[in-house]
Amino acid sequence: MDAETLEKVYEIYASTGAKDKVGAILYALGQTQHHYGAQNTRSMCLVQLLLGNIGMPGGSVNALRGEPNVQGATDFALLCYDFPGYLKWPTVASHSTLRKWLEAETYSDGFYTNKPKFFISALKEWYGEKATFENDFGYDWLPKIPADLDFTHISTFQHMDSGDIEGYFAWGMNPAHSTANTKFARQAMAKLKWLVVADWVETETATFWKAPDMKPEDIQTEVYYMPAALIYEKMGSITNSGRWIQWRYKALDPYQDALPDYEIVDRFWKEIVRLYKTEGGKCPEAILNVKWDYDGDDGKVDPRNVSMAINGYTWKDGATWKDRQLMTSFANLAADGSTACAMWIYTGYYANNDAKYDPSMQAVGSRVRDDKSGLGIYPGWGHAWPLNRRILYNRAAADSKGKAWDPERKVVEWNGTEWERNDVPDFGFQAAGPDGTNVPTPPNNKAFMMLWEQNARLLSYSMKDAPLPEHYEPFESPTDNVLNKRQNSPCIMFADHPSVKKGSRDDYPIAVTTYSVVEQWQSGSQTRGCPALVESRPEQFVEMSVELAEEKGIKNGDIVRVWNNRGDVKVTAFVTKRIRPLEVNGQMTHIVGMIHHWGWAGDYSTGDVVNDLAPNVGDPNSYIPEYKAFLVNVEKA
Amino acid sequence: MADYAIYLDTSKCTGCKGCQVACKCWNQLPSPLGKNVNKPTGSYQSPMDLNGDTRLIVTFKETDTDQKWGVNWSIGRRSCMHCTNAGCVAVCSSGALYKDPNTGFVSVDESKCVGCEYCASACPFDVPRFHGSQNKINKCTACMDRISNGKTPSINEDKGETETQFNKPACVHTCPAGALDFGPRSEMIAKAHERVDFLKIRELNPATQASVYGENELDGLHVITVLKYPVDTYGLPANPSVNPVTNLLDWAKPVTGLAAAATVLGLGVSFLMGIGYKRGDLHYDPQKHETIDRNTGEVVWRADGSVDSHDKAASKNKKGGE
Repeated sequence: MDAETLEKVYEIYASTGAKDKVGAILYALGQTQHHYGAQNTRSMCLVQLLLGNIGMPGGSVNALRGEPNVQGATDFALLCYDFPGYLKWPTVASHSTLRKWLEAETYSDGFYTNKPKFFISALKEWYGEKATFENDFGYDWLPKIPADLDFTHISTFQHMDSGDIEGYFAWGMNPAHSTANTKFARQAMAKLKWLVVADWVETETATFWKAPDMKPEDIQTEVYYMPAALIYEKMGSITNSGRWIQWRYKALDPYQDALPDYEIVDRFWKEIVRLYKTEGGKCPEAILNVKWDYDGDDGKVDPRNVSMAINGYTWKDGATWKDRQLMTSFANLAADGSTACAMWIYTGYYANNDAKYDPSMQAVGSRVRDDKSGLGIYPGWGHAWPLNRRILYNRAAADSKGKAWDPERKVVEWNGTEWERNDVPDFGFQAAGPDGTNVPTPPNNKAFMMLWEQNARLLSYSMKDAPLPEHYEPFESPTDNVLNKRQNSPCIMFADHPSVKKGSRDDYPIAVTTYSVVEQWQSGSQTRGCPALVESRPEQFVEMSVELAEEKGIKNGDIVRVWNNRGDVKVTAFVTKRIRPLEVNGQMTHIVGMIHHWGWAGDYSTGDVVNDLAPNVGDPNSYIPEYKAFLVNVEKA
Repeated sequence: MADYAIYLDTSKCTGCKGCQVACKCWNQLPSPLGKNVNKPTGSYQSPMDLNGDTRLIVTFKETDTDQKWGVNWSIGRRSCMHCTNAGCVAVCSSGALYKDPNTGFVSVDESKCVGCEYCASACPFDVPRFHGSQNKINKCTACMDRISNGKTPSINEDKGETETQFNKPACVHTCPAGALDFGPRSEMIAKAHERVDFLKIRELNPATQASVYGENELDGLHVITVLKYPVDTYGLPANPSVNPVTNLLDWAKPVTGLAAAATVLGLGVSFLMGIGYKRGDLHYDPQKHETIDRNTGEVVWRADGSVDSHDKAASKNKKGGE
């Protein structure tokens, strides 16, 4: 983009820094899939904070998550350093005892002074009657993350390659298609002793040994395939980008032998427990003391019991789900073992004691379409964690005196005696007075109660790489960083691993970015199984400028080869004026764009794995790989 | 019941092709089932043209822009326009094609189709496609089975709103972008003009060439389209017309389909020449991604954009258009 247009964009966006205007930033993987992706997100936060676009309806920094339940998965700690509800999973280095965990993680002020209540209530849910004050509520039975091994996505395959990991569960995930530097990942998987794949169809991962570059006769891995039900074949909740938790009902039975994944997990667990009881095993307390009482009347795990466990309830020895008292707010949780709650942030989403087995009567199943505020809040549709708060940091929608910045966008306002509110306040708006009744808290400057200082951070000390964002070039870039002397972030992860095989600008002068098309979804496992979708997008393509096509003698529709040190794929060329060479630091630089939904698995449409090309380097905060910018070369195939 | 229309706002269309897929699903139109049998198109458009199993496609065309960067990306819809002056109905020898008296849409009763393909010749938009193995014409029915069967209760019924809505065609029902709509034709026309006015006053695009298509063309189409870019970039003829000869058949309307077919046979070759009968004159080759005029052997359209006289050739052959 030219400087003048860019200035105009900045000017228009900066004009939202007015009392009566709001700007929203919506982003997705284009911002995050860089080795400085988390700092990109920080930049957006800073812009929004400085413009006063935080806490306002129609403002904020909005990640576009969605169908694969990324929000729900993150809430439930599918990342290896998290404990459910954005608490820290204990590590050997910092949290060898419960006392150390509590001391290290509990804040001195703000809402996270309550962390012990959340964490101990979670332990109570894990271990039930076995979790007592005397045994630190079973804390010692939780596995601790070792100091010297890292089990994030990229390094998992390095550990497979080195033999540290011998077995692997790939659950609703397709790393043989999706991992950056997929070819390396596939070769690493070939060293596994066993692999379990739970998925809807036989994905590339389930058939990794059938990849065109594999020799099945040399691979000793035992592969187990667990056919799993699709989302429409089971009940449960899904959480969207706005933290709205919504119940989804089962629409039809799973196909053939497929089971909901919670039933697969349940069967695994019960068998593990049976084997521990009959044959014994290592650390038996960690297995045999787990409560695991989620069965329904039919002897199978019931997601509604799991929902009650997540929501939280008052603990009573010997009680069952039918007589446990669900709680409506995590404010009622206690750190003494008198409450159990698997994940504090969802408390209140499934709290109706009068209809425990009817999700439609729970907040999570509510479908009230009213929006009395007129601000798009819709408080009766599903449940937004925490406590049905629809706009986070909404104290910032009013000034220091408590007056709404914009009378048309009044989320909260202090009327002199109390807070008028159109949303659940995200700040201490009242406190218990001497007689136990709630007394309104007059306006103060504590707008961000999840931080101990309760103010927004322009400088952050929780980022691993830097307190402020800095510009770096991608790991493989066609140009030099002219904004500072360092080409890449000094904190880049995994760049030295031999599998990365960094390419040079001379060999690979063309910058590439990867993206998706609407007709196909992620690794294509589902969409490439739908003939009408295959017909509407039958093949993988690389989009390139007219100038690059001329230079390389490529015509629209030609099959071209795109390669670098890591991979080599053949795709169709789309020659388009939508992509133009960029002038970068005075040099004409070509850029191409590729989609990535194909692999060798599937009945209707197959293709090369484009993620073979992406470098397996990552961000130090999120460990996300750098799919969005790297180098390749292109020629007519 | 007044005339109804399908509304399309190309300025809101994101090109997701949900309509294209929903059309196939609702109407149970098959897609190829072999492995890797759909050939690469070299375009976001796929398949490149309508066929015996495809009644609706989303079209993509890039043209130069007078803006500093980017292109004008015309994303449109290629399907039946449901003309008031419908040449296909006029020439239909069997009564399979008919104008629905309740809505004005041009629908098909496939059980009556004898596969003569006159409609394909008479259509100024080159829309009806012959389904060889079934010996039937395949084209959009405006989802007559949906819109004529029942109404959907208002989604705000629980708030005391009792108004019901007609079931919408599958394409409209699925549109996530709000680009497609369905309703009384006069309302759709008003909505289209309102949208064009809005596009014209937008500060960022003062030079817009937005227009409403379908209000008066062929005495009024039942697909009302807001075109963001010039009409030709959507592959649409600027002034479509039906060959006058086709309307000679109007006198045969009261006669049964069988009699009409006999009449046509009686009229013989001179009639067919009169409407420019061109059974399969234009042939799309899915291997080469090009359309050939069988009369001349000339390539009239190619997927890579190097040749694009498709519409001219089609209208020339039909002696309609232009």
